[in-house]
Amino acid sequence: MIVEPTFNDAERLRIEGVSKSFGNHQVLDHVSLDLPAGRRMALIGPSGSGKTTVLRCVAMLEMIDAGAIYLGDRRISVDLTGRTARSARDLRSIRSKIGMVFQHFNLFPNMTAIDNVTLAPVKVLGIEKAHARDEGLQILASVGLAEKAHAYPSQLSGGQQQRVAIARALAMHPSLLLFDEVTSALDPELVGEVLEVVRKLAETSPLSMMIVTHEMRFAADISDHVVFMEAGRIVEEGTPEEVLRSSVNERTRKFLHRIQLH
Amino acid sequence: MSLRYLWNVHSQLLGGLRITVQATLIGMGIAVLLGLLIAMIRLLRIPVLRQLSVGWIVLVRNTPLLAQLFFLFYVLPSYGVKLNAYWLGTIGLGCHYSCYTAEAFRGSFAAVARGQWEAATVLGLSWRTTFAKVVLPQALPAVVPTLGNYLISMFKDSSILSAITVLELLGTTQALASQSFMYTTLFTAMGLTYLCIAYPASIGVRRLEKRLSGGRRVA
Repeated sequence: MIVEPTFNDAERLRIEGVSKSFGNHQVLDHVSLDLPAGRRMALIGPSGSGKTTVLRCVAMLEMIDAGAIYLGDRRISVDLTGRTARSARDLRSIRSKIGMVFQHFNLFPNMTAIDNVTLAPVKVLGIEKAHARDEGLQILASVGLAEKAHAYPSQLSGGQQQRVAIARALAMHPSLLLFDEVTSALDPELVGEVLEVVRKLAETSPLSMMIVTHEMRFAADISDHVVFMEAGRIVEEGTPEEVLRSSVNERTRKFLHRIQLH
Repeated sequence: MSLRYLWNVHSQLLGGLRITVQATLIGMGIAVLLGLLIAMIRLLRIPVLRQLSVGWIVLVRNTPLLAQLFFLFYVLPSYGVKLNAYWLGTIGLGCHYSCYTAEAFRGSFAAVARGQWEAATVLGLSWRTTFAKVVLPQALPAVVPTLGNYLISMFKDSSILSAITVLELLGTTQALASQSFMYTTLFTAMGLTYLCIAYPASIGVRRLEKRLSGGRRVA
């Protein structure tokens, strides 16, 4: 794959030959991807194709069996040999550069929206409470939830909860944000508000994004690189135009056809 | 029933009740702290300590409380432990119940969704912050009614302390009866005292349980 040089390679994400199995089932088979800083990559493919596992490996929620993952020149992957084992503090410092938004939001139900947003900046980055609060309120306002700052997750709709989850990730000032099927658990009428927030974010911030989604129109709109995965392998990748509109690959076309029937 | 006799000895009986309540509350404190510690060791999978805590639970759950108290009372002193019967009994009661509270805590920790740990991990929160700010506040409401029931059980089981010479409510009653032979009066009064405390407490726990489960916030 040819990638043009970028101005900021310190935050470039490189996934090199990553393999991963759960028991006898191989979920990732030599997956290599390259995400220059500030770019947005959409991962598409049928369920069980390994898209989410790619994100979880980058987020260090899973160990990998082989290969390596780098953010800039720092190796972030944790493998079974323990070669990359490092101190908990070091791990957390790399982690704070990578944010993740989950399918099921995973907000902390025992805290208000604003406390969800400020907990990590205060505890991990050591930002002063009052300052974190001011900034948290600004971020909540930017996702359209200024007036819900003191609501508990149970008092919010799914779409609102997911927007709080995005705000929570943004409060850590990550350079890379991972979106794991962030609209899949939402009622259809709530999907739009979440996609709108992500879209606005893509337009206004220099964040790199990796987006696993089943919303093909959204993938086409927001990403500048689309990767189609199947059975743990990358089948095809390219611009949204190449992969989503004019793919010549049989399997990609089949998948897109199936999706459109829904 | 002789109410006059009861009136004459009521201060002794109340003194015994005070010892019962004290032993129960202090024992509960021990049971909660030790149980929490054991549950955390198992959650963190700390080697050695984890095996030790499993062994501890097997040992305590499969021997009678009375046998444990006799062991503390008759064996420990010959190894230089100089605690009086009251403290030995209270500690024994707390240790006995720690196995049950540990199990309750473990269950409530396991009930906290994995996604909560993952969200905290991705945010870079330390284990301690995750546990104190995210897991424990979610686990505690579920475990409080169970702890309340154990508290009531301990209140009743503390009567066993009389077997190692502690003059709590049952022991005091027995001592008075052996002097006055007013068995009916004394043991009826004793039973009613236990009943008058344990029954309202169990109703309270049931109400608490209802309120906590009704007001539970779901993610």
